[in-house]
Amino acid sequence: MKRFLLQFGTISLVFLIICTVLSSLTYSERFIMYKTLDTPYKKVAWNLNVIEKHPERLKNSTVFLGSSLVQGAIQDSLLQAKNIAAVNMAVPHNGNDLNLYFFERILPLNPEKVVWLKGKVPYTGLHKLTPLLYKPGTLLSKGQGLNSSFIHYFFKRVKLSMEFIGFQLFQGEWKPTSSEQTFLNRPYGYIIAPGALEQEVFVSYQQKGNARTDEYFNLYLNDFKYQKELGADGIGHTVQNWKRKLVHKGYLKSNFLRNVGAQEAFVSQAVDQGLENQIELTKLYVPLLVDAFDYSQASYRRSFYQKTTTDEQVPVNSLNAFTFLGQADLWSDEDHVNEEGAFLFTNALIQACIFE
Amino acid sequence: MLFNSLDFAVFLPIVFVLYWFVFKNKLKAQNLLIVGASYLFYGWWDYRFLSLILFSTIVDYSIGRLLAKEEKPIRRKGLLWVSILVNLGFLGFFKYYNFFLDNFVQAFSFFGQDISSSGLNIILPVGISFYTFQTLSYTIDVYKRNLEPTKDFNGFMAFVSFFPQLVAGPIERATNLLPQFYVHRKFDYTKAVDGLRQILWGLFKKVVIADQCAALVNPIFENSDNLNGSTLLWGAFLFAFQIYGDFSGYSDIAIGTSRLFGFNLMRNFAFPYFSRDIAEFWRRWHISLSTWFRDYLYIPLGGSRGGMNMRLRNTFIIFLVSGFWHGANWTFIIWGGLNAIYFLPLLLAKKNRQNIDIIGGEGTRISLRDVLNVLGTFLLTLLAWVFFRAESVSHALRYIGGIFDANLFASIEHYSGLLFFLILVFLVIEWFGRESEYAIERIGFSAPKMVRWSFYTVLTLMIVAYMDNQQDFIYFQF
Repeated sequence: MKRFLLQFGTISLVFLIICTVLSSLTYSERFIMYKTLDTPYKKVAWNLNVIEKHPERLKNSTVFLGSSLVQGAIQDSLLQAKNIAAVNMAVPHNGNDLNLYFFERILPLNPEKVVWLKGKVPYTGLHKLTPLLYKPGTLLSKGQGLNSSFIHYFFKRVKLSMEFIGFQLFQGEWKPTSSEQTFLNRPYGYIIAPGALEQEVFVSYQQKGNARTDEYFNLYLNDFKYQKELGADGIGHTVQNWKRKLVHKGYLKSNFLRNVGAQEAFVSQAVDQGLENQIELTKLYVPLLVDAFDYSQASYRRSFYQKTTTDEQVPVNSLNAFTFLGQADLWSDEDHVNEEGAFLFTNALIQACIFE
Repeated sequence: MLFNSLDFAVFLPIVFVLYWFVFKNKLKAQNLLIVGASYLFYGWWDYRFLSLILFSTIVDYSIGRLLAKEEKPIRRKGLLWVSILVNLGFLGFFKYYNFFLDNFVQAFSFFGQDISSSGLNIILPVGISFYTFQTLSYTIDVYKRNLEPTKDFNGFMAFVSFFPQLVAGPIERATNLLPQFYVHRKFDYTKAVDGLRQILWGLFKKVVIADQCAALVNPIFENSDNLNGSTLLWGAFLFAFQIYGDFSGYSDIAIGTSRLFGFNLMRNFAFPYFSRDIAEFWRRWHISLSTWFRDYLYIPLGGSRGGMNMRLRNTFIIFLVSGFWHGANWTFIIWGGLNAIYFLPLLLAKKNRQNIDIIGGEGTRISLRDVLNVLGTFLLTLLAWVFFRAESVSHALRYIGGIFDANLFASIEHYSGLLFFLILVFLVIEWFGRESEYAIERIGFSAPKMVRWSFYTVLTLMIVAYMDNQQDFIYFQF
């Protein structure tokens, strides 16, 4: 057994060293563009292009960072038309890690203000593109722990490193196609969310069919009870309550299993760097369809989003109501407004003086 | 829990450490650990169906105990039938209920009678076909007095639920696996290293070959009506390697994992694509199932004792049942029937056992005829795989029709030169390792340790590189 463990340990160590070396390679921006341009994450390539070729657009601007919610809801074109210098740099998929990456990249370019998406619930895991953007050492230094998210990230990074070597060796001549170049040259980062919300889905939300979903987000504010359970007692309810509390505190907030702590650490990093560089950082809540309706009774506490630890450090901006988005033809799906919805939302933000 | 997942990568070392360090020299505790680990492994997918495995275990254990005390043949037969009905009843309900119902309704509508039916929304428990056959083998062997019925319930539970082979085989015989749970197991360095090597090769087959093929096979089969003949042929070719890499890869990981715990499982694949005729192919493909049907169906039906007609009948029955075992769809039955038809000329000419040895084994000469036979057999299986993969019989027929259309030599869509190269490399390794139990068992044994370790490191890096496109094991659905 000793010999087996020794040999297995040695070969595993050798393998780990090779992986660490591979994962520590620095990728060229061309490679990052090559990997993202033909995917739903093409905004990464657009962002890099802006940073490299049009840094003047970022100077004294309001820069938006976040997921597809921001990408499809904030019309920087409209803001610019209203003389508000703004750049929408949001990239699909959730993750403060990706926001932090671009935050650090734009800091030297002196934006006036950075608006960071506030999630409905705390972010978990890592952004899908983090293996492409961060080296392991850098990610760890930003507050990432050695947990299951990191292991997934690490091996994906190794895989990408091998691809990067292949890219350098065999695709040195790669250039964006003309349509990709046209995309890179767009003056605005806003991208219309595709699709149209089905009427049936909208009606189910309108008729309170999804009240439970909304209540789910607010359980922690209501002693972990749904509306219909208010006032109900008995051992079954008590057990159910304890179970929900346990899931909320033990699983949903677990850093090892869900990387929640690291996600908050990325925001804290941004706060510190923002203070150092005198750049204002705020959070913005972008609504989902469920927010466009008022399901709650007076006795049921409701908030659009769950508070996180960094909300104390960074002010969260949110409109007080989203009922003006309560029409099916303003949504592309349950989570994203369409072009018209984005226009209304951006306008509402201007009127609420959120950019001042 | 998938073998090619992070969950399993955490699960396996924990069980290994508990097994060899905490419960060392404690047979009962080790068996209990195997039961616990196996139920966790299965419950990771869906804990609700654990009750099914437990029930099946209790039924067959009890019947075994009753058979031990019963001497009257009629009662013994009755007990055997209880086991068969319970086990096949579960299988029939979960796997075939909707199939029979649909066909029943269709048969009535064919004769002008419209009857309404509402199929049930039944979830197929993973691996039910595998563990059902394994427990059945126990009862049948006890009934035939080939095996002493066990008194050790804990050991029997471990035998039924043994996690490395619980969900996709190899389908073990009670006579081989069950006694291994009775004896004290010692850690064997050579066996453990061999196990790790086989796991590595299994993962390579699954992740690098099968999953990469799947990424191209899926769009080709989904859009087959709009693709040219050459692309369809490419799709069928890739599927042949997808299913081989997927299933034999799983078997390798299962056998290798068992070795880590001191168990020996039966071999399930023996380089089937190097077969020179279809009979040889079936001696090399899914061996545990073929031999199960041989021992528990073909031979009880009379086998080859009653002349040519009986042999033909029994052969067709075996192939059709084997096809139906794979899934409740006519495509699988036709796949089985097609293989029976391929088998027919060999049976009639009494040449079905002419290729017992491995091609070019022990330095024998390989003739041009051998090479052509290997290619011909591969093409026949390729054609049959189309039925296996297609959604319906009409889809399979359209697919095969599409292969032979005028565009057979047009350029291939969804082509990947890199994947083709990987398959060639894979075939070369398999060819040089074809006299071993699995391809890399003895490859490079004479080479310096540094070279071997580099080879293993490259294989592991390739697995990591291709891990992204993770697919379920095909045979989980059976």
